[in-house]
Amino acid sequence: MTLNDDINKQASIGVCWMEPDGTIKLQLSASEPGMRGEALLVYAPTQNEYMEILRHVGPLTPGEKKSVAPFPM
Amino acid sequence: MMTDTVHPVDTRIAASKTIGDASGDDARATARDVASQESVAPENRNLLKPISTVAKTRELVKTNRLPSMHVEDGAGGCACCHLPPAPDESTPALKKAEPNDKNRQLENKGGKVVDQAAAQLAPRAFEYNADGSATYQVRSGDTLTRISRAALRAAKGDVAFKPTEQAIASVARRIADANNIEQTDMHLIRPEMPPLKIPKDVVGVEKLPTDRVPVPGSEIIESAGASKEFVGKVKQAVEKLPPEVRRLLEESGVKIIAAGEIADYDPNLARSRPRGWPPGSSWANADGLQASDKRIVLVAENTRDGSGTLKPSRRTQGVINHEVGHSVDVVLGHFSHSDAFKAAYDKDILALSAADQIKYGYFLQGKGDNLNYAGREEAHADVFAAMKGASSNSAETEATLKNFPNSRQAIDTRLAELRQEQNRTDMLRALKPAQPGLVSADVGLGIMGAGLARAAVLASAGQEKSK
Repeated sequence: MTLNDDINKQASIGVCWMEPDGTIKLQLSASEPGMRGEALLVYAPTQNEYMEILRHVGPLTPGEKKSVAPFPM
Repeated sequence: MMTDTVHPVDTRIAASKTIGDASGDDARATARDVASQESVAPENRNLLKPISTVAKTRELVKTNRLPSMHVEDGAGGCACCHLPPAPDESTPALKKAEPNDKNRQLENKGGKVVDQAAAQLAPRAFEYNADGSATYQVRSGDTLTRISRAALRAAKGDVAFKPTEQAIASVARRIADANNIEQTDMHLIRPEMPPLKIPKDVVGVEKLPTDRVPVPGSEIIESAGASKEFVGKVKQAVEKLPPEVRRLLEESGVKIIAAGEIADYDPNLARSRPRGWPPGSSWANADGLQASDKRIVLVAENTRDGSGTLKPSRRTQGVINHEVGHSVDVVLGHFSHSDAFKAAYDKDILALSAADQIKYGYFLQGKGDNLNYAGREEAHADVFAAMKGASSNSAETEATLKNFPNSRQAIDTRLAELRQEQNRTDMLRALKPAQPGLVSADVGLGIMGAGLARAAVLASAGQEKSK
């Protein structure tokens, strides 16, 4: 099997998935010169940022996992 | 109907936009605009007549290229709201419109009113105390809600942060409790009040790093603001690592820090947003980091959630394993960049299904660019973590082991080589403990790649033979 070129070239800050109750979880890695870090960010549907996160990661169904592209700074 | 026309409310929006950097002349000048439109007593409003509100608004909007933000009701008013929006500290400062003679005269007459309005527009300043708490001098127009929102933004280090209503209410209650403000009187904040005490857990970021204390019984673990229970948990997690890995870390000078939170290690780092992370997030959300230049692996007992509230991390073992995976990679001379690991990793990712390629996009990043090793480094760290019992997401441990069998084998082989190198060093050390050549071989084993370390051992063995 060959690699999907779109994925191959895409930058990623981590992976996200949706829980059965609609909560979105972002398992992220930070990469700065000489330093790496990890975090698990949780966004419940009631949170203000929820729609912004969903718009960024694209359509997501419960159980589905996706790579997360960097957010604009 | 949305329009592009300017109406009076826009003047106040424009004025509120200075709040992000409302200091000095800019804040005062814009405050004059607000004062001239809104804050002047009715009997003094005649003074304002020489300048047309709409003309002045147009000037501000034109100078700053602002869009109209409201819905015109056809009669010069606003159909969508009757009150101006609350000042928003997240918006950037505006350029001041060039003053003319007429508004210079008005500026002089504004006097006290202008000063009051300027004070309202200035950013809220928290004075930090040595214990991490802060004090805040109440000013005119303050409410607990606005103070709480500003405190959450200060804690985040992000003026654009939009805390939830629940988070604001929770902080407001904590500030009220700390200052004996009755719950029924929460919105009645008065400028003549003594400075408000802001509890440490609300704005406790302007503190010094917490002292790092060696953990008894361990050569490599240090504690910084973590509870005894958490330090014990970290100790257990480190003891689960194979002896050759613990020895490699120790000989390379790597320290594993059990921290209360990231701010205990570096308060300034905790306030900054990592590149590419969502707006409003910061390093304070992280529960683990690895600093290769400082030879540090850090695991945090607590992380801050989206509202700035501290919550215990539930991934300690996986995070330690993952960060140790990065550290081992570095002290082995970036094993993830080696031909041996690259060949194994390439085999694994070519065998991934299309769905798994999307899922593991994070491990595949930069695959097409030989200079970008980010994907391989992350794959190495997480496969290493899974091999040691838990990947950073423990639910994925089995899937990672199943999907990266060749990478796993490559890491296993390298760790077996490391064990042999350590055994050889021990053997040679037992034979000739005082020989200077062996000391350099020992150091080499800790920090250099396998080839160099092996060469040093062979050189020492050669010296032995020749004697």
